Amino acid sequence: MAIHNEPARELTYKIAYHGPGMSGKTTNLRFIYNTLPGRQAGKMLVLDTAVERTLYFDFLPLVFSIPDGYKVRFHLYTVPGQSYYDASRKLILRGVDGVVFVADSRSQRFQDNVESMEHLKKDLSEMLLDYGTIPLVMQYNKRDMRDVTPVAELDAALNDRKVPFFESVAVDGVGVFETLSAIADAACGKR
Amino acid sequence: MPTNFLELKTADVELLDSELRTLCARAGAEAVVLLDLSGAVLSFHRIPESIDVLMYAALLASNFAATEELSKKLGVTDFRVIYHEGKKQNLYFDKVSDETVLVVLFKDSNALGRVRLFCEKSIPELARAVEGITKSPEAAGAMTQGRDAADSIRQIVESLKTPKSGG
Repeated sequence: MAIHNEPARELTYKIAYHGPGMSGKTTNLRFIYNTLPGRQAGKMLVLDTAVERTLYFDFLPLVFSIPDGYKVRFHLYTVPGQSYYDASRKLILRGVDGVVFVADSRSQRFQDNVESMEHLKKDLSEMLLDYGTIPLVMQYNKRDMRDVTPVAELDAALNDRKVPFFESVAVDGVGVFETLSAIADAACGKR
Repeated sequence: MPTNFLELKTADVELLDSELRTLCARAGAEAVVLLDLSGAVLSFHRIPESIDVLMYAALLASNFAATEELSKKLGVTDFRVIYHEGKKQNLYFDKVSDETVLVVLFKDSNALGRVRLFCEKSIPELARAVEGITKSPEAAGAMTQGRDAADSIRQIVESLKTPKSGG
């Protein structure tokens, strides 16, 4: 649930990056953190394991100052992708205002993407959120890899709501800000 | 889905600030913060500027949420409090409502019983204050600012000129 702090003139939105393990959710946040100036991106918190898998969540607060003196904050979270983190993953979706689904385009991960999307629907439901209406953007990542599933095939399997989708190579920043821009639009009610 | 807003009006903020200030003094606490369990800060008192309150809030809320989930899985009912004991400082969590939790940082020289007593005294007032915060499908006028922020991000996208977007 977004927060409007009237006296502080601040709006805060919570955005979660969801998707299978190692699909590039943390890489999205790292690129944003490394690209935006310090006045817009706060400290990035990473809770990962020794093999760089997200243990609980990553957190990156962004703030944009609007000409009329308002500050608009986007709190970006990633969820742990591995299925054995089911119990903790859904907790990160609590009160979320928008979701980016980061799919791994490699053919061998196709089924993992499908299962992760099913987890997303289930997790949102358990957090009393409606998958059918929550602001959502799809990102088909790792498009630079060999043996990737065609985008049309991924979109047909994963994007039943026909929300905006973006091809990306998050490690190089390709598609990262386009995705962020689209979820900001959706969460803020621009579409 | 239209984004739902928690509307913190001036009166809400003043009431929460006042309650936390009073609690902090009575309990002899170093700092207090009121969070919602999604990780957002509703109010805080005596948090030093050197502390990144947003990052701490994300950790504190997730800490409580994870322990609460564990208690559900273990069948523990009416779960409300967590206590972390450090060498010099301690953390005390007390649930205010289904969606909010109070966190108190206090020194080892202070008594846990004192902190607990004054938290219990403050919780009903805080719960009433939280209950009084308006929830609305669209914050009055606020959506314009949200849309302006979305425009700011789009300007960044333009400046980066990264290729290969679709959709």
